[in-house]
Amino acid sequence: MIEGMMYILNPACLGLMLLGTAIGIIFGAIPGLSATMAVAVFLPVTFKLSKTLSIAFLIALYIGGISGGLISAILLNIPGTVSSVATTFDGSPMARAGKAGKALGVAIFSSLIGTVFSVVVLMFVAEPVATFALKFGPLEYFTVCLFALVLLSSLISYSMLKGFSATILGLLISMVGAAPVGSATRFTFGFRALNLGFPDIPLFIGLFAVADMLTDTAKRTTEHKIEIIQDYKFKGLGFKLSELAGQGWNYLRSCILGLFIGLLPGIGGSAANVVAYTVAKQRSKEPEKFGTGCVDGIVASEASNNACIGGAMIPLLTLGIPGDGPTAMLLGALTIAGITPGPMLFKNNAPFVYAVYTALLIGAFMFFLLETCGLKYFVKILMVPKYYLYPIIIMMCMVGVYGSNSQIFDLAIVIIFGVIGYLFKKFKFPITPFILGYLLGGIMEKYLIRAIQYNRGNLWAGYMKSPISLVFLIITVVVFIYALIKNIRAFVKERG
Amino acid sequence: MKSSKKENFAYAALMCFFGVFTVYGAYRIPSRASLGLGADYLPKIVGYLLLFLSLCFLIKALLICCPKKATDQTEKAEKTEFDIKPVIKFSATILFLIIYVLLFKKVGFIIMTALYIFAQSLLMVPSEKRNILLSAVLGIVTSILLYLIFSKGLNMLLPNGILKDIL
Repeated sequence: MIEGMMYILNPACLGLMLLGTAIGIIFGAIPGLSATMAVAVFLPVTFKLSKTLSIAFLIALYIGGISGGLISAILLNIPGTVSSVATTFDGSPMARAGKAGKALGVAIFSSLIGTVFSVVVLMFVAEPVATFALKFGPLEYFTVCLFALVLLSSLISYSMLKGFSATILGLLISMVGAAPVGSATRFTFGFRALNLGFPDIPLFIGLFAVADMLTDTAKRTTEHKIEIIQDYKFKGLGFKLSELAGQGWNYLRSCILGLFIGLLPGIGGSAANVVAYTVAKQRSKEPEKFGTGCVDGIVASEASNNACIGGAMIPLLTLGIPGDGPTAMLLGALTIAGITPGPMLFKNNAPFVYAVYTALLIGAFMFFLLETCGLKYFVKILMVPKYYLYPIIIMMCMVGVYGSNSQIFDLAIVIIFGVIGYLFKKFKFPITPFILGYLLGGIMEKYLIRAIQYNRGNLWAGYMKSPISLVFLIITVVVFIYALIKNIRAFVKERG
Repeated sequence: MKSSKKENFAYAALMCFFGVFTVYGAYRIPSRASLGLGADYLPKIVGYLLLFLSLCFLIKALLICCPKKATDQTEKAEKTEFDIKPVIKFSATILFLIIYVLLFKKVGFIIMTALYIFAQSLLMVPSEKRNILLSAVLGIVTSILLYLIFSKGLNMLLPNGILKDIL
């Protein structure tokens, strides 16, 4: 263990990690760039480094990239990465109310808690947890995805119909391109560029960045005069620790959710922040405060998305299965370095494993220090008028989108989904269920079909054989019925 | 957020359109199925779900009482007063983005980005704060900075367009 730690605790490695964290934060904060892209772009740079240095640098990029998304989520209401979608729900309103420092401080602190929690769990329970996850088959994966979608759609307080409509439309979008089963291309209308489906990053940039700008341009002239006044004070972390009183259970629950979702390959951190946020809202005694600048929402989102980091590392180290995009890149780096992840890694190369643990912990604290020290500078971004900021942000997004694939078609997708996002906002259809439907659609279809095939057409028999799936299914049905009754009562009251 | 009878009829029509489109498209997908599970399986489910949602919106629309009278004076005033400026700004924004994408490769990243930032900022800035010089400088500086960082610094391929002999 000491040997592994000493691989990291030297000036060269720490300096490289600091640089990696800073670059990762920038990649995470700029909409259009991502942690995956950061790791992919710098992967060739690490070829000439030792295996420990290269993995430490990439881990720093990873942590910085995942955590950096909160900056634009709070300051610009545009998630820097999909892991920070839910942070916009309360982080942005809080910032617009002049409490940007508090929002950032809470988010950064929560990110630290989430990362440290997940790394500690990784250290102690990696092997047993991975063994449990091995029991998840297609039916379990499908039911968990279904649970996430129904939960989110049902909890749209103003209209369950609109929530489900958005989810189903998201599923529809996810079906464009090559089918996961049967290899037929669907709904491409002859466009070869759509054969692989709609690309993720342009879609999100369109739905958030461009839609936001379009919404702003469509406002009446008088509304442009309203600008945020940044006349607030902050010391230290930007918030008082007493303001986090009562958040203990929220932290614990969100970290566990994030860890568990990060552990499951294919579902990923993009769902964790939204699911944790939704659960926190449902469990809250004041759910109406969510979306207005509530600390609970930021805590749930950031703690869970960072807890995914440790969760995603578990299957990577123990099974060689990446938990998300950045860990898929890390797997490539490990292979190039001649390291074979899996159960034997712990036996044959224990110092390396402890080096990875140390790098994860150091990376978390580096991110925390960098962002805390630079907090006041980050907040100043809000002083720049929106009408100058928006065009620059859109162009930075376009660079990120074009840079990842060099496809003009991706830029067109940004505009198309910008208009779609604007229409969603205008007619008050929720965006989040749409995004989750899109993200989980392909996975759900694949697992559903496999589950039916494995059970020879009798899905119910599969549920009878799988207690895990049955429990999730029952919870899903209960949530749906509860929300339906609540909505019907509200509708009848409205009429009456 | 209450929605009106008219709005719910519109949503019902929209979901019906998507539902019919999806079901029609799903039946045209070659199945290549085993156990009835092919590439058309989920599209059919999604299509029928959309039609079901359409029915739900329709029922909701029919159950909503008569449209409330415009007793709210502000609401009435908002409906009758139509401001063309936001519509022009919105349409111009879409147009700028489309032109940007169409000319991106031919003209090049630096020039198109500078032009876009210049045009978009002038469009969005309130008329009393408009500063053509500032918008122009912002466009040029941002464009060059982005090019240097991403193309030269991070080795991302960005089109040089008509400046390819210079860059």
